[in-house]
This record gives sequence, C-alpha cells and structure tokens, in this order.
Amino acid sequence: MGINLCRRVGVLLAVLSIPLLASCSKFKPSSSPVMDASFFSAGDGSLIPSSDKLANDCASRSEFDTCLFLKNPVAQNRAPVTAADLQAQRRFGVKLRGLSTSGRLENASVQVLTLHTPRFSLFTASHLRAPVSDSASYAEQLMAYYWANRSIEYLSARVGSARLKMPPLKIYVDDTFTGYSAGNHSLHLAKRDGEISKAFSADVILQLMGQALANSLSGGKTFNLGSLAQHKFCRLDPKGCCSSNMGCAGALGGAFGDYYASLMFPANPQIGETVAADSLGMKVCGLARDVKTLAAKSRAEAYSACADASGNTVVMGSWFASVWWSLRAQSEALDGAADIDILFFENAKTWTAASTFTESKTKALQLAATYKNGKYMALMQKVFTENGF
Amino acid sequence: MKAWLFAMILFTFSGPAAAQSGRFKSFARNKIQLAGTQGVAAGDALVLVVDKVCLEQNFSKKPVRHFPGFVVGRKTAGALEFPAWSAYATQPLTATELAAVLDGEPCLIGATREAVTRTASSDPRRNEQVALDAIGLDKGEKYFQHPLWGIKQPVTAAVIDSGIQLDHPDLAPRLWRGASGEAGFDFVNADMDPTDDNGHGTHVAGILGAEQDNGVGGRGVLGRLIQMMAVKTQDADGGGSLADLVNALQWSADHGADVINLSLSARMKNAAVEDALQYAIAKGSVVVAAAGNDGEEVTAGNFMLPSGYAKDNAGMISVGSIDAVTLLRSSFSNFGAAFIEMAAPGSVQGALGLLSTFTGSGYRNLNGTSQATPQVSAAAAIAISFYKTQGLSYTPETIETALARAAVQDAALGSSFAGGRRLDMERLGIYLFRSAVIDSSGGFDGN
Repeated sequence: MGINLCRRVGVLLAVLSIPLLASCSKFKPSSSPVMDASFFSAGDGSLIPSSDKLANDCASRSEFDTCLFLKNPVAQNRAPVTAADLQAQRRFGVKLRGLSTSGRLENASVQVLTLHTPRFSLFTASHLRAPVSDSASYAEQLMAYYWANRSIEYLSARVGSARLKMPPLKIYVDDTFTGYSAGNHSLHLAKRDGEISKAFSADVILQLMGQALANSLSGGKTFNLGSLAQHKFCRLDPKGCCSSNMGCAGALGGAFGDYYASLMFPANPQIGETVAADSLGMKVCGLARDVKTLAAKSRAEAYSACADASGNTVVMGSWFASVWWSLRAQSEALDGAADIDILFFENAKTWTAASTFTESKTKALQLAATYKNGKYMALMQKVFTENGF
Repeated sequence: MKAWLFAMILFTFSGPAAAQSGRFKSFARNKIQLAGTQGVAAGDALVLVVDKVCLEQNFSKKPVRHFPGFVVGRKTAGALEFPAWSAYATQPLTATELAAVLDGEPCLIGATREAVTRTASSDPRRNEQVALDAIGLDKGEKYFQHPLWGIKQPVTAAVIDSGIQLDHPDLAPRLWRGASGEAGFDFVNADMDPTDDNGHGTHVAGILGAEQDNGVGGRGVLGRLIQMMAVKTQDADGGGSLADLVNALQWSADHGADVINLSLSARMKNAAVEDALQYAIAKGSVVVAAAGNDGEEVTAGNFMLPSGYAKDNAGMISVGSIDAVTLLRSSFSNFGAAFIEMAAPGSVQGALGLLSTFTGSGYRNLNGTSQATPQVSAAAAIAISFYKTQGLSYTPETIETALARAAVQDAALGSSFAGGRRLDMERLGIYLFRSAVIDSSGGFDGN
C-alpha cells in the first residue's frame, strides 16, 4: 500500500489547518485514520444536539461517530443491565466535537487519560467503534470525553463560558477507585473486574466534574485540605462528614456536583442508576439521591440519615443541591431557571474550606440582591426559609 | 507522487549531521529494529529513540513535528540525552517505506514496536500464602502500586527477634545495611552479626518483607521498598533477656527504624521496657507487638509484656491472631478488647501455619501471634512510605490511627479485640488515598 499524499498532508495539516484537511476527504479510505473536520468543530449549545440520538441500529449507521449510553446504561434502558448486555445497549449515537488536533480525546477543557489500558487515538479508526472490553477502555474514554465536553458546550451557552473555565481536567477512566483529586485536578473512574465501569455513567462523570468546577470557581478553596474544622472522619474518609448540620465545604462541593449533573438530565435528574443497578437511581443511607425530591427532607433528617456517618457529605450535598433545585423549579414561573443556575455558579465562587450552608445562603442572598435588580431575592429568601435557613 | 513525497521528507529533514550514540550500539542508526519484515498499520505504536541535542540544534522551533507520518505521544523524558518517545503511525507503511521514512530522519537513533510492560509476578509459592488473601493484599496493592500515587519511599523495619538468616535468597535483598555494612546487631552475643540460629526471626521477617516478584518462594506483605533491620535478642532456644529487649528498642530507634516488630511476649510488667517503648515511639518508631499465644484474656492482672503497653501508648499497636480461612480468633491467641487492639491472620484452618522463610534458605509453615504481628508491621510501613512519598508529615500516632480506622470492624471479633478490628489492606489503601490525594468519592465507591 502506498502513501497517499493528500492523507499525509492532511494528517500533518490537521495540526495546522482544518479547511485543507476537509478538502482531502475524497482520499480517505474506510479503514484509514479518521480525521473528519467535524471532530474539531465548535460545540453545540443544545442540551442534546440534533445529531445525537437513540437508535437501535446505531452500530450500523455511519452518521454517528460512535455509540454510547444516554446518561447511563440503566437510565437509558429503564431497567437493570448486566455487564454482558452493555455492548448491545450502546444505542446513543453521537457526533464527537471540540477535539484538539492531537488525535486524542482532549481539548482545552478536558483530557481523557488511562492508567492501565491503551489510550484512544483518532488515527486508529477502529477505536471509535471498539467494543466494551475488560482489557481495553476505548468505550469508556469516548463516554468520558463526550459527556464532559457536552456539559461544557451546553452550560457555556447557558451560564456563560467564563463560568466553565478551569485548567484542563484530567479524567482517568480505568482506575482502581472513583473520585476527584483537587491536588491533581483529576477525576478517577473505577474500571474493576465484575463491575460496570463508572465511566459508563455520565451522571458519575458529571457529578465529579461539578466538584472540580466548584473547586476551580472558588479559587481552589472549597477542597483546601488545610482547614478541616467543619469536617470529621467517617467511613474511611478523614473529612467525609460535616461536623454539624450547618453543612460544610465538602457537602457544598458535593451539592455543586449533584446540581451540575442534574442540569444535563433535568427531566430525570436522579443520580446513580447504573451504580445502584436501579432505574430509580441510588439511595444513600436510605434517601433517594434525587434533587427533585430530597428537599422534602429536613436538614436535620439529612444530617442524621447515615447511622454510622452523621453529616455524610454525600447526603448533605445532595440535600443542599435539592434546595437549589427547588428554587430553580419555582423560578420557572419567572422564566428564571437559567438565572438560578448562574446564581448557583456565582455562589460557588464565594466558598472556602470553612464554608457552611448557612454562610453560602447568606452569600447567595447578597448576590441575588444585585442580580437583575433583585428579581429573585424574595423567592430565594422564601425557599431557604422553607428549608430551615 | 510517492517519490515526490519522500523527496520532500528528505529535503526537509536530512540537513543536520547524523546522530551517533554509543549508548545504543545495537540500535545503530539506519538499523530500524522493527520485528519481522512487516511494516506498520495506521495507529500502530512505536518507540522512537531520538537524539535530543540534534533535535534542539536543528529543529528547535517545533521538534515534535520532525517525524512526519507519526504523532508523538508521551515524550517527557526529563533531561535524557537520548529519550525514547511513544509515537503512533498515522498511516500504513510497508517495511520499505517505513525504513525510507525513518532512515531519512537524522535525529532518530532507531525505532521499535511499543508494548505495554507489566510487573512480573513470579513468587512461585504465593498461592500458598492464604493469609495475604485474607488481608486483601492484592486489592490493597492497587492503591500501594498506583501509577500516580503509589508508594515510592523506602522504609526501615526493625525485627527484634532471633536474628535473620542474612543470606536467605528471599530476604537478603531486603535487609537494612548500616554504615559498616552490618544488617543489624546481635545483643545475645554482643556483636554485629545478627544471624538467626533459631528460625523464628527469619520466619517473621519473611512475612513482613520477603522480596516479591523475584522467582523465589513467596513474598512479604511489603516485598519491596522495605529495609529490614535484624536485631537479635533471642537465643538459639528462643529465649531472651529483658535487658537485651530494652537495649534493642533503643538501638533500633537510634538507627532510624520507622517500625519495630516485636513478635515476643512475657507475662509481666517492667518499667524499663515501658520506658524503652516510649523512647522508641518518641523517636518516631511505630511499635507493633504480639499478644502472645496462651489463649488467655489479657487484663491488668494478667498483663503481657510488651503488647500490654500498647493501649496507653499512642503509636504502639498490639496484635492478636485470627484464622486466615474462618477469620475467627485463633484458639491459641491471647485476647481482650481492652488490651489487644487489632488482629491479623496467624493460623490457617486451625493447625496449619503461615508459609514464610526459614533458616537453611528454606520455607516453613508456622502459626502464632508472632506471625500475625509482622503483617501489621508491614501495613504500618506501607502507611509510612505513603506519607513519605506524598511529602506529608506523620507521627507514630498518625500511623496507628490510620491502621485502626482502616481496619474492618468485625462483630465476631468484638469480644476478643478492640472494636473487633482486623487488618484489611484494601481499606488501608482507600483510607490513605482519601487522607491525602482524593478529595471526594462522590459517593460512588460504596463506602
């Protein structure tokens, strides 16, 4: 097989000049590296772009770059999914956008990485449709990139790109554990034998991504490890619980994560369907992790929900996110959901490691007083009061 | 068209003087070391060994682009003169084409196929070490050997015992060495040769830190990074004096022991021993002591030395034994929730003991709290190495707290050991990571 000049120049120029590359598309054989210009195109501000849709025949349709899961396998299927069924459930056809020209799944906002499995390369066309595998993670990498990037594209349009800016977030899709590291500015998604990879849950990716964004918005103060007075040890985590039902920074970060993930799936914002293998989503200490319903519980109930871990930041965070979601829902009457989103993002800028819910509420009211002539002040005050503040 | 392309490449990249490297003799320029005679497919990964000086001198603006047809991935190699870069082929090339392309690049020393390397696991008797499975070592290792945050700093553990067979092939690489090359000290014979003439110390040392992945025998809980100090206080019959114990504790602490393992006991109190223990802890040593093998409850009136001092001295841990299969208390193990702080496997299905190194360059199965204790010592050593690797400060109390919090709290052990605690290495890994590098699990990891 000879060298196709146009392809070679095209690949080289992919780094430099996309229009020239596009003009070479007629030289692109089906098995060649895929360097379609659309990979590098600007984002789409829609919640779900028109190009991306559920299709039972996704695998055979060439208009999709790859087939993923809509939210997560169980949410998409509305029923539990076994690991053996995963490949067949990849029915959400998508176009990849916003890639840098490195050939990797990365751009100025996110960088998808691996620790134990080969890394995706656009120069290997088969990676785009590689099956779910124990020994490879191409599907996980695509899922992580698509949803992380999707949230940035959508929310940039919704709340302003300046509120989404942070250093490139590293996302490791084949790790031993799941979590967010502020020090490394990275997300870690578990890929373990006998379990469905966490990277197949967009809600998990986005929840952790929200925590990273909250930390960035606050100038790295939300997860500043130096100040733990408002936190206490629980469940193998030295800072896993709030010291009081007034809340703590760990719970604020968690709240931002739950709210952020919910923004991408506002119709069914519960979190963790695949994690819990339950289409109703996961429960934490008996409470459904659902921003639509959790605010029905009191702050005291949220604080004491975990018998072995009172003040658990996951529960407390979900509850506080639910309070804001309630505010958001009630603001619909004022056509103000996007404004509430903006106020929540702005509120995160005021958080520190010593912050509590009550302090956050005070700051939020101060912000609301100056935002759009105080349009949401009364409503915000009402909702916080209803929830015990 | 193809000829024109090659002409372009040669024109562009054949200017500088050819690179030469004595370091890569078998990797001589013009010798493209790709397996077989096949070329490469698009996406194939290659290793490109390059002459960094050549690149910087001749292509200083954009050196990465000087390998047309390849995308260079990971290229960080510090200050290496001849770094190896991982690269991907961007289109298929026959062997002839590949040779022509690479041969035209003057700053390239050679190319081979890239592959993922993995640590060899070659301890042939590892499958007999069921205690390591009982404490979840393999799951813990996913944390301790994590590519980003795994332990990297050496840690010193003193084994105050009957000495260690210094030339045992599974132990020799893991021995501490002093300024004169000594591996420790012999307080029994008052010399610098702590050779084991009993076997007990060699067995304990093997559980703690026998070399891993060396093709020999089994492995220790911490089979790398550990440096074991042989401190001999027990004679050929296994007996020892309190005076030697007091001296050994001070000597170990003075010589930088991060952990001190005491797989020995006596039914008594002794103020000198207690002072020596406190001295060692104050010097920064975590002290781990066996509960004893009398099958009795330890109380203030039935006091076991030195383990009995653990409950009042933060930074010291007393260890009882459980069975590696049933996870219930070993019948021989002393117990007492007020005095014995943690358990680890010291027996296997009752009578069978734990496999470990023994004198005569051999291996033997022995049971006892002596065998349970070095597993906790190794866990302490791992925690210390983790804190050192992360550049975090710690004290012996910090380490004891980490082990206690990370332990499984097993109700079936609640009447025998404080909080029913038993050693669990995966939980220790999780605890350490959440202490220092992971700020939130998001609630998605089930704990």
